[in-house]
Amino acid sequence: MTKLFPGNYFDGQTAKPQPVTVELKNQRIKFTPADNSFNRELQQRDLFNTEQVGYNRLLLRFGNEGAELLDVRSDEFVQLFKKEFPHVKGGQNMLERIANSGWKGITTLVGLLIGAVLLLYFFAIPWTGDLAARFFPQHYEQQLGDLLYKSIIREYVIDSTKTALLNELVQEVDFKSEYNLNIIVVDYDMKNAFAMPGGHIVVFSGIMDDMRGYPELMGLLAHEVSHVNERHTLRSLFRSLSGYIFISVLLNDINGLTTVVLENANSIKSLSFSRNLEQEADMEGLKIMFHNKIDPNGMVDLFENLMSDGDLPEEMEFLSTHPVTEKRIEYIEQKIKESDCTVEHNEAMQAVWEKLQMQ
Amino acid sequence: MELPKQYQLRFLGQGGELFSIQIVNLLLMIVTLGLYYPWAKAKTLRYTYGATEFEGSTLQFHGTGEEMFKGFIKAILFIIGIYAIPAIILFFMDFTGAAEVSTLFLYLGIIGIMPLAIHGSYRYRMSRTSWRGIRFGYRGNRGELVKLFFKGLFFTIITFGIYGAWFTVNLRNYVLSHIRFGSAEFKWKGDGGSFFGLNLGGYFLTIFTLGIYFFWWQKNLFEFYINNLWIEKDGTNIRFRSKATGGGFAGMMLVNILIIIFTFGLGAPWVVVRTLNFVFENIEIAGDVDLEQIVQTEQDFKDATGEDIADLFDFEFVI
Repeated sequence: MTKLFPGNYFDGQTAKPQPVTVELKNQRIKFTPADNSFNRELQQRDLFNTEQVGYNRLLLRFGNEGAELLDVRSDEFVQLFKKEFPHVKGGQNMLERIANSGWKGITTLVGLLIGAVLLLYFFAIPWTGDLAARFFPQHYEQQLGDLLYKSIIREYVIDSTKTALLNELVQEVDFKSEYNLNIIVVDYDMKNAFAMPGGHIVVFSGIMDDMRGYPELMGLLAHEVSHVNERHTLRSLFRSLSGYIFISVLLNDINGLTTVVLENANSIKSLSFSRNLEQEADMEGLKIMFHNKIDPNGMVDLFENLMSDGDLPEEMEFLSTHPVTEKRIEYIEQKIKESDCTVEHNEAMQAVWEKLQMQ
Repeated sequence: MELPKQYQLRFLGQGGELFSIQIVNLLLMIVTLGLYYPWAKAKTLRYTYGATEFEGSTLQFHGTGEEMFKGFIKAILFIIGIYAIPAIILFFMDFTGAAEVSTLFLYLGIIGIMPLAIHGSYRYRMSRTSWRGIRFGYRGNRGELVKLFFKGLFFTIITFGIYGAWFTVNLRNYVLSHIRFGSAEFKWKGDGGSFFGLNLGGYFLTIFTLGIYFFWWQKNLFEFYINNLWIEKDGTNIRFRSKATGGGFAGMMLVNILIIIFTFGLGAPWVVVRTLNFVFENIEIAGDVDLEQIVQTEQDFKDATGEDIADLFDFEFVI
């Protein structure tokens, strides 16, 4: 005696339910209404799709475009159906099977997800951001840099004599740069300098005051020019932008709420990231010094000079984002030791340097 | 006169079930660099529709990942097209104002595709939705919608955004009133003036009350959307009424925010379930339509391009 299950049949013509009794046997689904007015039999190939709702309800679609519907509510029927038609629900992939296998499966998936997100966030995203920055057209980068420069330079007083001398000095050096370097000295008693996209470099007069020779000054310029050559501003910008976009896309349906929560994490990451870029600028800067046969110890002098300046104002970002200065001196000295660089005294540079000292 | 019948609408979904669907979706999307998105969306929709029960029968979504993937690829091609012209101007043409002209083209492209995406997305979504085997359908006319859209946009621009309220309401009037459920028709009739007043008042009162009024503003908007909706069939109808309170909205939304914060976003499926439960519990449906008399009228429609464009630009516009 086979078990009969009560169900509802919808004929795809009207929304009127027709109560039927359903029988499931030998890979066949048979159903018929109480008045026996019709008798239907379905095989697996007739099924358009099947959908389980909750644990105890199965909806079977069949007929023309799947418009006919059989709705059976019974957990026994659901189990029996799965036994009789083991391949129908075969649409589940491996991950879905894991997800449906209970708490252990779910925990595994959460772990996998967190791992994948971290991998993406710390490796794939910065990498694509970097790639985008490298392929960014140079003339557009130049425009961006010009704009940035114009808005920033207004806040400072330009020292035109020193600026002219410094640009004279720069003529003596091959910076291997594709950019037109625009070096500006501003009258400001702080040991700082920064570079903007497209070749604008602002040097604070304060950083030049305690310098002990032109190699130290060249160390500073080589470092800043490397920021320009390696497109550091653009790369930082693209990385932080792509990180932001990634977070919002991932958590799409929560409308940026979580983005705000995670923003702090993002800023910590970009901090350590800037340190990487600083180190890259140091290394590339050294290469420029080797190439021009300028004494690379000038760069060591530069950082010792910076270190001697004990109480820097808090708002000076220079300190916080630059690698700890002692470590920096250490790796620079290491690099100099490893290289077989030759140093030549440059009379022209020395002459300009002396003029600068007289200012 | 016969008492109007009460209809029952329930959401049967569970946060845990939705979570196990979405975690798989997320993983596969990451591994496939987003290409799994159409399948992920189809699975989520199938689950949420299947968990929506009206008068004892659940809704069904029959869209498939394959269909939506085709639409997804077409949508991406469309979008590449939209970005191509501005990009060419920006990177290869050197004249003053190139950036402005390029931005203009980009906006024109995105705005131009919006009504087409709304139309396509409604046609697809409705035709892939059914209840008791009876398909929904969208019978709006693309040309009419485009005309309505640009007219609204024009007035919105020349009134500095004020007409925006009427624009939104007119679009909604048009789109929702062209949805069919077999031989029954959805109707929505809102009034731009009250929508404008609602938002103006809501905005300022929210500021004056330091944000507290926000929940009552949401409640009023919900009421506006729900109370203006009805279903018609041969002179009989079904009306929708909101029972939501501002306090209810406050409770629902504040707990949702806490769930998101303390689970770092992983609790999103529970938030979705809580929200849908709240919405369905707060809609009262009554009328005299005999559901058993509703007959099949709509055709099958399988092109998901519009749906995917709407997704990619993130302007969802459902009921």
